[in-house]
Amino acid sequence: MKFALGLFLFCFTVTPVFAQQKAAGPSVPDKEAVTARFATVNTIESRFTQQKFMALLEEPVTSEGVFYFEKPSRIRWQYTKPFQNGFLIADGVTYRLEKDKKEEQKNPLAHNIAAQLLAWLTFDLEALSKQYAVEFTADGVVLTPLKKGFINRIKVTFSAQNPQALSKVEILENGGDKTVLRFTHPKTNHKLPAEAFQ
Amino acid sequence: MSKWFHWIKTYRTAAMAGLAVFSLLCLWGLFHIKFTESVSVMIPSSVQERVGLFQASPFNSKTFVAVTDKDPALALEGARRLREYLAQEKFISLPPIQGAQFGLSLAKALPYRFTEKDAQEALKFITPQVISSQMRDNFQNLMSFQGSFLKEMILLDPLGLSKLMGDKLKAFDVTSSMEYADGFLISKDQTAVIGVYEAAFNPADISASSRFKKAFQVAKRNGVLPSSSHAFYLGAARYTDENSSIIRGDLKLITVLALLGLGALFMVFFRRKRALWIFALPLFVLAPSALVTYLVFGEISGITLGFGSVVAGLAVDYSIYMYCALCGSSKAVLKTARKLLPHLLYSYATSVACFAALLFSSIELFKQIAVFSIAGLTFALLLAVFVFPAFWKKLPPAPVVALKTVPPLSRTSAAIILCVLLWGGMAGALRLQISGNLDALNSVSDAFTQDKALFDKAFSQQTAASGLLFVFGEDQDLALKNNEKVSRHLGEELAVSLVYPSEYAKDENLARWRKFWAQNGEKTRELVRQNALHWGLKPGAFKPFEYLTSLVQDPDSFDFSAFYNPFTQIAGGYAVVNMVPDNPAFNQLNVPGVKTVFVSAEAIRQDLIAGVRTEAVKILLVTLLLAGGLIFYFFKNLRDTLLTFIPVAGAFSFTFLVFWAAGIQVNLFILAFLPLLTGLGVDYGLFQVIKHRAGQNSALYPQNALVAASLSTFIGFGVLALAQHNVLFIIGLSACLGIAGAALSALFLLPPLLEAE
Repeated sequence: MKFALGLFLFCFTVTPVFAQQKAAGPSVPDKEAVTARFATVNTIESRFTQQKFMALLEEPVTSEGVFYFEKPSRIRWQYTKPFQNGFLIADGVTYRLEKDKKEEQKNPLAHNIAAQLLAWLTFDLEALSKQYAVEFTADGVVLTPLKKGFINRIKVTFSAQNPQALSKVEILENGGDKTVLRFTHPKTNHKLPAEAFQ
Repeated sequence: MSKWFHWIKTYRTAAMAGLAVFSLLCLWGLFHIKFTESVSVMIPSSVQERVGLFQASPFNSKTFVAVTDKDPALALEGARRLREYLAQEKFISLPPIQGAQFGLSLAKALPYRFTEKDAQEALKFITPQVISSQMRDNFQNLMSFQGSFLKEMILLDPLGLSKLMGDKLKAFDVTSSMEYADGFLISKDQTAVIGVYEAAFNPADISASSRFKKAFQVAKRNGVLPSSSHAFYLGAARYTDENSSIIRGDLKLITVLALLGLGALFMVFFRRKRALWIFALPLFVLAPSALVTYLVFGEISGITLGFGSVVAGLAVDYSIYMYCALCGSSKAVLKTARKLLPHLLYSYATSVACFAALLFSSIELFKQIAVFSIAGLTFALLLAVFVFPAFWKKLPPAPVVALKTVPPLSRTSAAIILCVLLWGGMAGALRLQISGNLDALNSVSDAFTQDKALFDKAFSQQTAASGLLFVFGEDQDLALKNNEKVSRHLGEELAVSLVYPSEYAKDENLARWRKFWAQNGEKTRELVRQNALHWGLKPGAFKPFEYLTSLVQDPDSFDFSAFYNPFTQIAGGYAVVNMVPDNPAFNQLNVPGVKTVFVSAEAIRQDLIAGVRTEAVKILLVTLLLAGGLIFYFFKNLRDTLLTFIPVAGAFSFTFLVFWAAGIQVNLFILAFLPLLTGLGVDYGLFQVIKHRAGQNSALYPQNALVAASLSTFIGFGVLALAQHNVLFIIGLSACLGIAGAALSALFLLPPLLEAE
């Protein structure tokens, strides 16, 4: 009994020491601290640039746009170049944006894709952990899908300027295609324009 | 008889102990019985097929989980969170997420479901203008964030032909009056959101349903829902839980009230310790009767057990007659008991005959009630004749109960009153309102009624306007083939046939697909290639599309069963289930060589009413025939036989008259009450006729015995009228009225008519 108790105490006192030693090299951000940091984000506004590297394209295609987020689940993802389209989730409903028009999407697929993006952009660790193995790195995280699909892994890089925002999301596909999203001038917790979710 | 009687007299303590041990053992056995509550045991065979099909259909295991909130966004959010919670707790199984793979499977499924109509429609997808516009959209989608998710789909189906499959799936959506989003049904005002789920447990299982209810309550308490939202669930699980809770509550109430009532009766008529045997009798009778019923049927319904109080009321009559006969009797106990025996046997035989009539019913529950009652009466008679008299030696005269005497009626007055009563009863019987609603067999709480009203308000058009059309076949493919025959007969494709074609139809559709692309493939593929180049896509990118539209095809692997499984396994084959509008034409469907059954609330209601009428006539005739035959056999006299039935006529007439006058709607459990009331009425009639025939020996039949017996039965039955459960309530109410009619006829109308001779 004493031995078992001793072993139990040993495990609980020694393991964190090893863990700390292992983590001592590169400064991996504390998971709880990062989660807490992003949990306080109520709004985000950011511009983005998207690069698509696809085997079926003669050459990579770059797009630009802007996105808005407001807690708990309103998001507008709008491309401005070369096309003017995107999507909007407001009041639980998903819309497709096409120039000045918006069209309600009843297909669950559209909602699921949009919800996926929402989880990445707001770094909702609880939601992400249900679908991905989350590995913290020096400047962000690497998400590996728990179920086999077309995504190989996703690299998320935190913004050096704004600790509550992301600077880059790289989606690496199994076939070698990839999408790179870069965010510029992210503003968090500031008042969003009234028309952002209209 | 005397040997046994002397043994009991000598070893009274041992006999008492033996009786107690036997009862305790039976009680112990009773606690290990699993009670079942299913509507199917409560309905006539003519309705069984429809109800059985519905219960076996995939819809029966569906659970409807609703969330309401003034804020539509919160209602939807609450529904999503609740869905996640219930799935996590493994109470519901969710259909797979409709992701990109589902879209791919739709495109691949189309060749095998490519109808003539699709071939016409597909021509619109392959014009140069449409292809150009579609390819522009494809490029936009590929370059958007969701492009990675849609890529495979676009490369396989750049023309969006899977929309044709989407249209077929839409045919399953009978929810045109509602929104449908993210797998939820949403009311027009968007404040009510309903998830329809496959229950991952047996909803007819009382303990599983109770666990689901608890989990639901925990979810509500633990903040899974937004605080302003209200959530509830409907479906078989809710009915099971509500019914069993109410029956449990009723059983407690009935037992306590029956004991109190019988206690009061004891204080008025008996007031002696030794008379307590009479009131202890139900303890010795009910548990063994329940066990016998369970052994015969392999299951027992809570309703049958609830019926125990009725049997208890009847069963004590034999002991009351015996006790009253022994009170103050100067003769030896055995001698008196022997003298009373023929009357008790007559009474027992007629009661058994009346209950036996229920065995001729096609309703399973009535058969259970028949066996339960016959077993109970048998145990009661054995105790009244062989056991209790040993404890009732030298009983002093019974306490005199100052029953207010009513001046006896003249023969003419009695005859006139009887005629008026019979006329009223006849009029009432002809105008009897019978409920054909299956819900009348279920009993639910106020909360359930409110939830159901909320559900109906939000989705009334849906619940009222749909029915199920079952098309049969020896195997699944034959059932599908027959379904296609029905579609052709109707002149309109049934949704199931569009998505689940038979093997023969698949071959036809595939041939049509190949022909279509043999004619249009080369030109279309070239247009796709040209447009791809225009948008900077490599010419070979659309290889999957070229393969799909070539002559070679992968085998059909489309599986929609997680969303809609149309097959129901039945004895001797399968049935395909189609959701169709509630149109009476489906009821009269006559497709040569194909068996179909249409199930809807209205169809079941009509069947139920017709079934109840047939059963009522059958049961009543058998009851009268059996009881009448026995009484004639005992008396060998037609006049006495007919006079014995006067309390029966009084009972029925009074009951139907009151039902009519008060506008009471009865459910089919009125049927169980017909033989019961006949038995009671015959019992009282026998008492009076035998007493009259006994002449100078009539001291064996004191009036108090009849009054006490009627009151004990009245208490046994009467408490049921206080039950919440619809079935127990209607039995209780009917019996209260019937006993009153029977007892009053036996006490006041029968004696002057007997004297008339």
